[in-house]
Amino acid sequence: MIELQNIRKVFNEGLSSEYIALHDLTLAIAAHQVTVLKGPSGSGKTTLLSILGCMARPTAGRIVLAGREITSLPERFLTDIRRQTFGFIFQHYNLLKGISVIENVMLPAYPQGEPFSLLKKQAADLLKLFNLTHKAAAKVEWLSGGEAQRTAIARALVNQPEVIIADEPTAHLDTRLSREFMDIMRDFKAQGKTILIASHDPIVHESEVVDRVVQMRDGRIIDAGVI
Amino acid sequence: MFFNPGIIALFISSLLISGMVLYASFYGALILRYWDIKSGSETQLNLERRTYLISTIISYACVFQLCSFFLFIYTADTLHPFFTGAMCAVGSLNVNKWGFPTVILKTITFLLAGLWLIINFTDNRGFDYPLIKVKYLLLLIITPLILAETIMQSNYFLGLNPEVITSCCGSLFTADTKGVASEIVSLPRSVMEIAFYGTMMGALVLGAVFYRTGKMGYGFSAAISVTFLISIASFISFISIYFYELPTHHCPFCILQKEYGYIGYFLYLLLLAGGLTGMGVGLLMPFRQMPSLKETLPAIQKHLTLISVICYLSFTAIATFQIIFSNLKM
Repeated sequence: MIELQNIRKVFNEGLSSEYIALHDLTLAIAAHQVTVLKGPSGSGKTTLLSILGCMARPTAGRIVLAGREITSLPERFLTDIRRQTFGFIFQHYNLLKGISVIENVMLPAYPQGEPFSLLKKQAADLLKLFNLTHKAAAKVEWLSGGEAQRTAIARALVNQPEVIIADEPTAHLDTRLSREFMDIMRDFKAQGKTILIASHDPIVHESEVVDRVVQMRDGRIIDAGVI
Repeated sequence: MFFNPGIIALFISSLLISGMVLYASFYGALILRYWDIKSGSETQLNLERRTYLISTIISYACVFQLCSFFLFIYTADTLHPFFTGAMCAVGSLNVNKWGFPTVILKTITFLLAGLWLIINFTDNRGFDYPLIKVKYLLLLIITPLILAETIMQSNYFLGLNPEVITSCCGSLFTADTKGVASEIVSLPRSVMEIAFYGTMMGALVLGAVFYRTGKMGYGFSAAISVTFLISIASFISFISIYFYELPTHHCPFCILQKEYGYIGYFLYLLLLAGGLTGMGVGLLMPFRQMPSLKETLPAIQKHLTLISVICYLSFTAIATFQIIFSNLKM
């Protein structure tokens, strides 16, 4: 369970360019379900995902993750939670060019300090799961859109996170690949993972895999959906 | 006033340190006043973010403060050729009334800055800022002392007059004059030897007990503090003469000079580091049961104890070696 309590996020506070991205959001997100944040650009979905995933801190408010308040944690503790609890799939995938597919997948696990051979095996298993074994040694800039997306998903899973966060994952995919993505999410849900997706793609929020759609606009929740 | 690199460096560093701790104290006071970890208010979250910057600033200020202690002594020592009658730092410090009070205050701020660093290190190991109020309270105690030290040090440097005929260490650290130094020198040697080796042994035994069992932490810390003072007195009373190989020379500053291989810096570093870490153990004792420190604090205290014991053992070993193998036989 992830509980948001009066989350507020202000950028450039006190300046003429001050912008309130989130207005006192309160929301409870159930574990082991697929929750979609739906809303137009600028509605605050990405900001909220960043805060939920401990990549940004709110201006005010608290987040409770599995009974533990996490927004007050010093950075060194927050880093561990971010690394071990969350797997991120970014809109533009954020794969590192110049290194291979398998190296990209292994990258988030390096700080964990596991033996390299074990890490490599885990990454190879994930690539096999996503039919990317033949691309393991290829540079990521040579991948097609679908392959890049699956590499990004594999990378998000390498630390075996409980929560998967995906920001507009289908924005650059055609219909077939978007449906393929949702099929993968179905498998994750079956494995008991909690999935949070920000998207305004109907293929995502109208999918039967999704348990709840939270509608946002102008940094506010206009419909919290049905739990 | 002299334009000496050491003086200029100390002037600038003291001003910088004072500015840093003043800035940090302002936010420290805000943290003491408004900190509420249970609140999700904007003020609280702002303080949580701000404390990283403030802690970093104070950490640097404290490290500078530790270094400035040794730089001050070194500068005072290098200035002595400019004053008639001075043979070491004692003569330079005696040129005006601000010299020795500045050294004493610098020793106090050295210890407090070190203790702050220990508290801060421990606080950073807890997930809920367990010692945040303690460390900012300590900062509010340190800040006026650092400001006072900056003023006293400035008065000392600005009041350095090469026309002044000063007294050398030989006239200060002798049994024939009045004052704390002469009283220490006058103490019976056998009493001081028993006190030094007795308290040192007691502190080391308590250190071993605490390291192995986690008990007697307060006792160890108190013993280390007492041993710190007795070691300084013993150095003046009977240890120093074996380094100088002169039974009447008790100066604690001449040993900082090149003729003695600058061994004094190392000995004082051992004493200060050992004293500081030992005192740190006692300072942390009340927080051993804090939920977020329960697992990490005993390990931190063990490390501090180990450092303290090694420093004091090394000091004792060097002093004893010198007493046994010195050309001076008494």
